[in-house]
Amino acid sequence: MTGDREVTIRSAMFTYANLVPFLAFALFPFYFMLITSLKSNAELYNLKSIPFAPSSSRG
Amino acid sequence: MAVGPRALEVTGLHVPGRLARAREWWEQEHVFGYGLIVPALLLLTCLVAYPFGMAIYFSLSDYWVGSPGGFVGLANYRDILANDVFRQTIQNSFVFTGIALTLKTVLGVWLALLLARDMRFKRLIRGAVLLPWVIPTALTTLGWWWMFDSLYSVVNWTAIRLGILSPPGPNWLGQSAYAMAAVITVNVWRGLPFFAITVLAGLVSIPREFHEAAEVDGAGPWGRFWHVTLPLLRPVLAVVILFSTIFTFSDFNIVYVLTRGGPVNMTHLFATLAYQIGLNGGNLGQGAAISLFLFPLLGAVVFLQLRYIRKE
Repeated sequence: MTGDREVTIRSAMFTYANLVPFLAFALFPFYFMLITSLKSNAELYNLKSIPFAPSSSRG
Repeated sequence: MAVGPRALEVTGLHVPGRLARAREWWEQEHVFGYGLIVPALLLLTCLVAYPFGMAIYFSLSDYWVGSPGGFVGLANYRDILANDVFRQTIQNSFVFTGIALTLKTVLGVWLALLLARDMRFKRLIRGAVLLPWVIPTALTTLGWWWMFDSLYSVVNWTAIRLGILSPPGPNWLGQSAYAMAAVITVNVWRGLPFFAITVLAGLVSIPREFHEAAEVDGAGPWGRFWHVTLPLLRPVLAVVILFSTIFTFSDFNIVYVLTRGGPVNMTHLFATLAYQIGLNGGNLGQGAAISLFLFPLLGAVVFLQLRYIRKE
Protein backbone atom coordinates (compact mmCIF):
# COMPACT_ATOMS: atom_id res chain seq x y z
CA MET A 1 0.00 0.00 0.00
CA THR A 2 2.71 2.48 0.96
CA GLY A 3 4.49 1.75 -2.31
CA ASP A 4 1.33 2.53 -4.28
CA ARG A 5 0.86 5.74 -2.39
CA GLU A 6 4.40 6.79 -3.09
CA VAL A 7 3.92 6.17 -6.81
CA THR A 8 0.74 8.26 -6.79
CA ILE A 9 2.42 11.14 -5.01
CA ARG A 10 5.38 11.03 -7.33
CA SER A 11 3.08 10.98 -10.34
CA ALA A 12 1.11 13.97 -9.03
CA MET A 13 4.31 15.89 -8.36
CA PHE A 14 5.47 15.15 -11.88
CA THR A 15 2.20 16.47 -13.29
CA TYR A 16 2.28 19.69 -11.27
CA ALA A 17 5.95 20.32 -11.92
CA ASN A 18 5.32 20.04 -15.64
CA LEU A 19 2.21 22.18 -15.54
CA VAL A 20 3.91 25.07 -13.76
CA PRO A 21 5.83 26.36 -16.81
CA PHE A 22 2.69 26.17 -18.95
CA LEU A 23 0.64 28.04 -16.38
CA ALA A 24 3.35 30.64 -15.90
CA PHE A 25 3.55 31.17 -19.66
CA ALA A 26 -0.23 31.42 -20.00
CA LEU A 27 -0.88 33.66 -17.01
CA PHE A 28 2.16 35.89 -16.67
CA PRO A 29 1.06 38.36 -19.38
CA PHE A 30 -2.23 38.85 -17.57
CA TYR A 31 -0.50 39.41 -14.25
CA PHE A 32 1.87 41.82 -15.91
CA MET A 33 -0.95 43.74 -17.60
CA LEU A 34 -2.72 44.03 -14.26
CA ILE A 35 0.41 45.25 -12.47
CA THR A 36 1.16 47.70 -15.27
CA SER A 37 -2.34 49.10 -15.13
CA LEU A 38 -1.88 49.93 -11.44
CA LYS A 39 1.27 51.99 -11.82
CA SER A 40 1.90 55.60 -12.69
CA ASN A 41 3.63 56.48 -15.95
CA ALA A 42 6.57 57.86 -14.01
CA GLU A 43 7.08 54.50 -12.35
CA LEU A 44 6.68 52.58 -15.61
CA TYR A 45 9.39 54.67 -17.23
CA ASN A 46 11.74 54.40 -14.28
CA LEU A 47 14.49 51.92 -15.12
CA LYS A 48 15.28 51.40 -11.44
CA SER A 49 11.83 50.19 -10.40
CA ILE A 50 11.07 46.50 -10.29
CA PRO A 51 8.67 45.71 -13.13
CA PHE A 52 6.99 42.69 -11.43
CA ALA A 53 6.24 44.17 -8.07
CA PRO A 54 3.10 46.12 -7.27
CA SER A 55 3.56 49.85 -7.03
CA SER A 56 5.69 51.04 -4.14
CA SER A 57 4.03 53.51 -1.81
CA ARG A 58 6.67 56.13 -2.52
CA GLY A 59 5.77 55.99 -6.23
CA MET B 1 -43.03 14.30 -46.31
CA ALA B 2 -46.13 16.43 -46.72
CA VAL B 3 -47.54 16.53 -43.22
CA GLY B 4 -50.10 19.27 -43.76
CA PRO B 5 -53.06 17.66 -45.56
CA ARG B 6 -53.00 14.49 -43.50
CA ALA B 7 -52.93 16.38 -40.24
CA LEU B 8 -55.89 18.41 -41.42
CA GLU B 9 -57.85 15.27 -42.33
CA VAL B 10 -57.30 13.79 -38.91
CA THR B 11 -58.70 16.82 -37.18
CA GLY B 12 -61.65 16.72 -39.52
CA LEU B 13 -61.11 20.28 -40.65
CA HIS B 14 -61.46 20.13 -44.42
CA VAL B 15 -60.84 23.67 -45.58
CA PRO B 16 -59.97 23.78 -49.28
CA GLY B 17 -59.40 27.52 -49.18
CA ARG B 18 -56.59 29.42 -50.84
CA LEU B 19 -54.65 29.60 -47.59
CA ALA B 20 -54.81 25.83 -47.14
CA ARG B 21 -53.57 25.27 -50.68
CA ALA B 22 -50.67 27.68 -50.14
CA ARG B 23 -49.86 25.86 -46.98
CA GLU B 24 -49.99 22.50 -48.70
CA TRP B 25 -47.61 23.76 -51.32
CA TRP B 26 -45.25 25.17 -48.67
CA GLU B 27 -45.20 21.97 -46.68
CA GLN B 28 -43.98 19.84 -49.53
CA GLU B 29 -40.53 18.54 -48.70
CA HIS B 30 -38.71 19.96 -51.68
CA VAL B 31 -40.18 23.42 -51.06
CA PHE B 32 -39.99 23.53 -47.29
CA GLY B 33 -36.46 22.11 -47.18
CA TYR B 34 -35.11 24.78 -49.49
CA GLY B 35 -37.13 27.38 -47.63
CA LEU B 36 -35.28 26.46 -44.48
CA ILE B 37 -31.82 26.84 -45.92
CA VAL B 38 -32.50 30.09 -47.78
CA PRO B 39 -31.63 32.36 -44.80
CA ALA B 40 -28.29 30.64 -44.24
CA LEU B 41 -27.60 30.66 -47.95
CA LEU B 42 -28.43 34.37 -48.18
CA LEU B 43 -26.08 35.14 -45.32
CA LEU B 44 -23.26 33.10 -46.84
CA THR B 45 -23.78 34.73 -50.23
CA CYS B 46 -23.68 38.25 -48.84
CA LEU B 47 -20.90 37.77 -46.29
CA VAL B 48 -18.64 35.17 -47.91
CA ALA B 49 -19.30 34.63 -51.59
CA TYR B 50 -19.79 38.28 -52.55
CA PRO B 51 -16.61 39.62 -50.86
CA PHE B 52 -14.66 36.68 -52.23
CA GLY B 53 -15.92 37.36 -55.75
CA MET B 54 -15.12 41.05 -55.34
CA ALA B 55 -11.60 40.19 -54.12
CA ILE B 56 -11.02 38.05 -57.20
CA TYR B 57 -12.28 40.85 -59.42
CA PHE B 58 -10.13 43.46 -57.63
CA SER B 59 -7.03 41.30 -57.94
CA LEU B 60 -7.52 41.23 -61.72
CA SER B 61 -8.03 44.98 -62.05
CA ASP B 62 -6.01 48.11 -61.43
CA TYR B 63 -8.50 49.39 -58.91
CA TRP B 64 -7.22 52.13 -56.60
CA VAL B 65 -9.07 53.80 -53.78
CA GLY B 66 -11.12 56.48 -55.51
CA SER B 67 -10.56 55.31 -59.06
CA PRO B 68 -12.53 52.43 -60.52
CA GLY B 69 -9.87 50.82 -62.66
CA GLY B 70 -10.20 48.43 -65.55
CA PHE B 71 -9.46 44.78 -66.08
CA VAL B 72 -5.73 44.09 -66.30
CA GLY B 73 -5.56 40.30 -66.19
CA LEU B 74 -2.76 38.80 -64.14
CA ALA B 75 -0.61 41.96 -64.08
CA ASN B 76 -1.04 42.39 -60.32
CA TYR B 77 0.21 38.88 -59.65
CA ARG B 78 3.19 39.46 -61.93
CA ASP B 79 3.98 42.69 -60.11
CA ILE B 80 3.83 41.27 -56.62
CA LEU B 81 5.94 38.26 -57.59
CA ALA B 82 8.62 40.66 -58.84
CA ASN B 83 8.42 42.61 -55.58
CA ASP B 84 11.21 41.87 -53.08
CA VAL B 85 9.00 42.72 -50.10
CA PHE B 86 6.45 40.19 -51.25
CA ARG B 87 9.07 37.49 -51.66
CA GLN B 88 10.32 38.25 -48.18
CA THR B 89 6.72 37.95 -47.01
CA ILE B 90 6.37 34.49 -48.53
CA GLN B 91 9.51 33.42 -46.71
CA ASN B 92 8.34 35.02 -43.45
CA SER B 93 4.98 33.29 -43.68
CA PHE B 94 6.54 29.87 -44.06
CA VAL B 95 9.05 30.43 -41.26
CA PHE B 96 6.34 31.84 -39.00
CA THR B 97 3.79 29.12 -39.72
CA GLY B 98 6.33 26.28 -39.70
CA ILE B 99 7.90 27.13 -36.36
CA ALA B 100 4.70 28.24 -34.63
CA LEU B 101 2.77 25.20 -35.79
CA THR B 102 5.49 22.76 -34.73
CA LEU B 103 5.74 24.34 -31.29
CA LYS B 104 1.99 24.43 -30.87
CA THR B 105 1.60 20.79 -31.89
CA VAL B 106 4.36 19.41 -29.66
CA LEU B 107 3.59 21.59 -26.64
CA GLY B 108 -0.15 21.22 -27.17
CA VAL B 109 -0.04 17.42 -27.09
CA TRP B 110 2.25 17.53 -24.04
CA LEU B 111 -0.05 19.95 -22.25
CA ALA B 112 -3.12 17.88 -23.14
CA LEU B 113 -1.48 14.75 -21.72
CA LEU B 114 -0.79 16.63 -18.48
CA LEU B 115 -4.29 18.05 -18.28
CA ALA B 116 -5.81 14.60 -18.83
CA ARG B 117 -4.25 13.29 -15.62
CA ASP B 118 -6.23 13.15 -12.43
CA MET B 119 -5.34 15.98 -10.11
CA ARG B 120 -6.70 18.59 -7.76
CA PHE B 121 -7.87 21.94 -9.12
CA LYS B 122 -8.34 20.26 -12.50
CA ARG B 123 -11.04 22.65 -13.66
CA LEU B 124 -9.23 25.70 -12.37
CA ILE B 125 -6.05 24.71 -14.19
CA ARG B 126 -7.90 23.93 -17.42
CA GLY B 127 -9.63 27.29 -17.23
CA ALA B 128 -6.39 29.13 -16.61
CA VAL B 129 -4.72 27.44 -19.55
CA LEU B 130 -7.59 28.43 -21.81
CA LEU B 131 -7.43 32.11 -20.86
CA PRO B 132 -5.07 33.38 -23.60
CA TRP B 133 -7.39 31.99 -26.22
CA VAL B 134 -10.50 33.65 -24.81
CA ILE B 135 -9.35 37.25 -24.44
CA PRO B 136 -9.29 39.33 -27.65
CA THR B 137 -5.91 39.00 -29.32
CA ALA B 138 -5.48 42.66 -30.15
CA LEU B 139 -5.68 43.57 -26.46
CA THR B 140 -3.41 40.89 -25.08
CA THR B 141 -0.92 41.57 -27.84
CA LEU B 142 -0.72 45.17 -26.62
CA GLY B 143 0.38 43.73 -23.27
CA TRP B 144 3.03 41.67 -25.02
CA TRP B 145 4.11 44.76 -26.91
CA TRP B 146 4.96 46.47 -23.64
CA MET B 147 6.70 43.30 -22.42
CA PHE B 148 8.90 43.37 -25.52
CA ASP B 149 9.59 47.12 -25.33
CA SER B 150 13.09 48.06 -26.41
CA LEU B 151 14.04 49.78 -23.13
CA TYR B 152 11.55 48.64 -20.50
CA SER B 153 11.14 45.00 -21.51
CA VAL B 154 10.33 42.85 -18.51
CA VAL B 155 11.73 39.85 -20.39
CA ASN B 156 15.13 41.49 -20.66
CA TRP B 157 14.98 42.82 -17.11
CA THR B 158 14.39 39.32 -15.75
CA ALA B 159 16.98 37.65 -17.94
CA ILE B 160 19.60 40.24 -17.01
CA ARG B 161 18.90 39.87 -13.29
CA LEU B 162 19.16 36.10 -13.64
CA GLY B 163 22.43 36.53 -15.48
CA ILE B 164 21.21 34.88 -18.68
CA LEU B 165 21.64 37.97 -20.84
CA SER B 166 24.17 40.72 -20.66
CA PRO B 167 22.65 44.21 -20.47
CA PRO B 168 21.06 45.86 -22.51
CA GLY B 169 19.67 42.60 -23.93
CA PRO B 170 18.11 42.12 -27.36
CA ASN B 171 15.88 44.75 -28.89
CA TRP B 172 12.99 42.36 -29.37
CA LEU B 173 10.91 44.24 -31.88
CA GLY B 174 13.75 46.06 -33.56
CA GLN B 175 15.97 43.24 -34.86
CA SER B 176 14.60 40.93 -37.50
CA ALA B 177 15.36 37.52 -35.95
CA TYR B 178 14.24 38.64 -32.49
CA ALA B 179 11.11 40.26 -33.89
CA MET B 180 10.20 37.02 -35.62
CA ALA B 181 10.84 35.13 -32.38
CA ALA B 182 8.60 37.58 -30.50
CA VAL B 183 5.78 37.27 -33.01
CA ILE B 184 6.03 33.47 -32.95
CA THR B 185 6.05 33.45 -29.14
CA VAL B 186 2.84 35.44 -28.96
CA ASN B 187 1.23 33.25 -31.62
CA VAL B 188 2.17 30.10 -29.71
CA TRP B 189 0.95 31.66 -26.46
CA ARG B 190 -2.36 32.46 -28.06
CA GLY B 191 -2.80 29.24 -30.08
CA LEU B 192 -1.63 26.67 -27.53
CA PRO B 193 -4.95 26.46 -25.60
CA PHE B 194 -6.82 25.59 -28.78
CA PHE B 195 -4.48 22.67 -29.39
CA ALA B 196 -4.42 21.54 -25.79
CA ILE B 197 -8.17 21.56 -25.27
CA THR B 198 -9.01 19.91 -28.60
CA VAL B 199 -6.37 17.21 -28.15
CA LEU B 200 -7.61 16.76 -24.60
CA ALA B 201 -11.07 16.04 -25.96
CA GLY B 202 -9.49 13.46 -28.27
CA LEU B 203 -7.57 11.92 -25.37
CA VAL B 204 -10.64 11.58 -23.20
CA SER B 205 -12.43 9.67 -25.95
CA ILE B 206 -9.74 6.96 -26.02
CA PRO B 207 -11.05 3.95 -24.05
CA ARG B 208 -9.05 3.21 -20.93
CA GLU B 209 -8.95 -0.51 -21.76
CA PHE B 210 -6.52 0.10 -24.61
CA HIS B 211 -3.95 1.52 -22.21
CA GLU B 212 -4.55 -1.23 -19.70
CA ALA B 213 -4.17 -3.89 -22.36
CA ALA B 214 -0.94 -2.31 -23.57
CA GLU B 215 0.32 -2.12 -20.00
CA VAL B 216 -0.43 -5.80 -19.46
CA ASP B 217 1.49 -6.54 -22.63
CA GLY B 218 4.48 -4.79 -21.12
CA ALA B 219 4.44 -1.41 -22.81
CA GLY B 220 6.09 1.45 -20.88
CA PRO B 221 4.69 4.99 -20.76
CA TRP B 222 6.55 5.97 -23.92
CA GLY B 223 5.48 2.85 -25.78
CA ARG B 224 1.88 3.37 -24.77
CA PHE B 225 2.00 6.95 -26.00
CA TRP B 226 3.68 6.10 -29.27
CA HIS B 227 1.72 2.96 -30.18
CA VAL B 228 -1.69 3.56 -28.57
CA THR B 229 -2.35 7.21 -27.85
CA LEU B 230 -0.78 8.83 -30.89
CA PRO B 231 -2.37 6.60 -33.57
CA LEU B 232 -5.79 7.08 -31.96
CA LEU B 233 -5.26 10.83 -31.74
CA ARG B 234 -4.34 11.12 -35.39
CA PRO B 235 -7.79 12.11 -36.72
CA VAL B 236 -8.19 14.81 -34.08
CA LEU B 237 -4.65 16.06 -34.61
CA ALA B 238 -5.17 16.23 -38.37
CA VAL B 239 -8.21 18.47 -37.97
CA VAL B 240 -6.56 20.72 -35.38
CA ILE B 241 -3.43 21.10 -37.48
CA LEU B 242 -5.57 21.87 -40.52
CA PHE B 243 -7.41 24.67 -38.74
CA SER B 244 -4.30 26.01 -37.13
CA THR B 245 -2.41 26.06 -40.43
CA ILE B 246 -5.09 28.25 -41.94
CA PHE B 247 -5.34 30.58 -38.94
CA THR B 248 -1.59 30.88 -38.53
CA PHE B 249 -0.95 31.57 -42.20
CA SER B 250 -3.58 34.27 -42.26
CA ASP B 251 -2.66 35.80 -38.90
CA PHE B 252 -3.03 39.56 -38.80
CA ASN B 253 -3.62 40.89 -35.28
CA ILE B 254 -0.40 39.82 -33.65
CA VAL B 255 1.97 41.06 -36.32
CA TYR B 256 0.02 44.25 -36.87
CA VAL B 257 0.02 45.22 -33.21
CA LEU B 258 3.54 44.08 -32.34
CA THR B 259 5.67 45.08 -35.30
CA ARG B 260 3.49 46.37 -38.15
CA GLY B 261 5.50 44.06 -40.36
CA GLY B 262 8.81 45.69 -39.40
CA PRO B 263 11.74 45.85 -38.90
CA VAL B 264 12.25 46.40 -42.65
CA ASN B 265 9.38 44.07 -43.60
CA MET B 266 11.02 41.11 -41.88
CA THR B 267 7.86 40.01 -40.08
CA HIS B 268 5.25 40.87 -42.71
CA LEU B 269 2.72 38.12 -43.35
CA PHE B 270 0.31 37.97 -46.26
CA ALA B 271 -2.53 39.61 -44.36
CA THR B 272 -0.49 42.51 -42.98
CA LEU B 273 1.20 43.19 -46.30
CA ALA B 274 -2.15 43.07 -48.10
CA TYR B 275 -3.51 45.54 -45.56
CA GLN B 276 -0.56 47.87 -45.94
CA ILE B 277 -0.56 47.89 -49.72
CA GLY B 278 -4.30 47.58 -50.31
CA LEU B 279 -5.77 49.81 -47.63
CA ASN B 280 -2.98 52.03 -46.31
CA GLY B 281 -1.38 52.36 -49.74
CA GLY B 282 -4.67 52.46 -51.61
CA ASN B 283 -3.65 49.94 -54.25
CA LEU B 284 -6.67 47.68 -53.84
CA GLY B 285 -5.80 45.56 -56.88
CA GLN B 286 -2.41 44.52 -55.56
CA GLY B 287 -3.69 44.14 -52.03
CA ALA B 288 -6.35 41.74 -53.22
CA ALA B 289 -3.78 39.84 -55.26
CA ILE B 290 -1.59 39.44 -52.16
CA SER B 291 -4.40 38.18 -49.99
CA LEU B 292 -5.60 35.80 -52.70
CA PHE B 293 -2.09 34.47 -53.19
CA LEU B 294 -2.81 32.37 -50.12
CA PHE B 295 -5.91 30.86 -51.59
CA PRO B 296 -4.50 28.15 -53.91
CA LEU B 297 -1.89 27.36 -51.28
CA LEU B 298 -4.38 26.88 -48.47
CA GLY B 299 -6.77 25.17 -50.86
CA ALA B 300 -4.09 22.57 -51.59
CA VAL B 301 -3.39 22.09 -47.86
CA VAL B 302 -7.08 21.66 -47.08
CA PHE B 303 -7.55 19.24 -49.96
CA LEU B 304 -4.63 17.03 -48.92
CA GLN B 305 -5.56 17.01 -45.26
CA LEU B 306 -9.23 16.31 -45.84
CA ARG B 307 -8.33 13.45 -48.14
CA TYR B 308 -5.99 12.12 -45.48
CA ILE B 309 -8.70 12.37 -42.81
CA ARG B 310 -11.24 10.60 -44.98
CA LYS B 311 -8.79 7.80 -45.65
CA GLU B 312 -8.48 7.27 -41.91
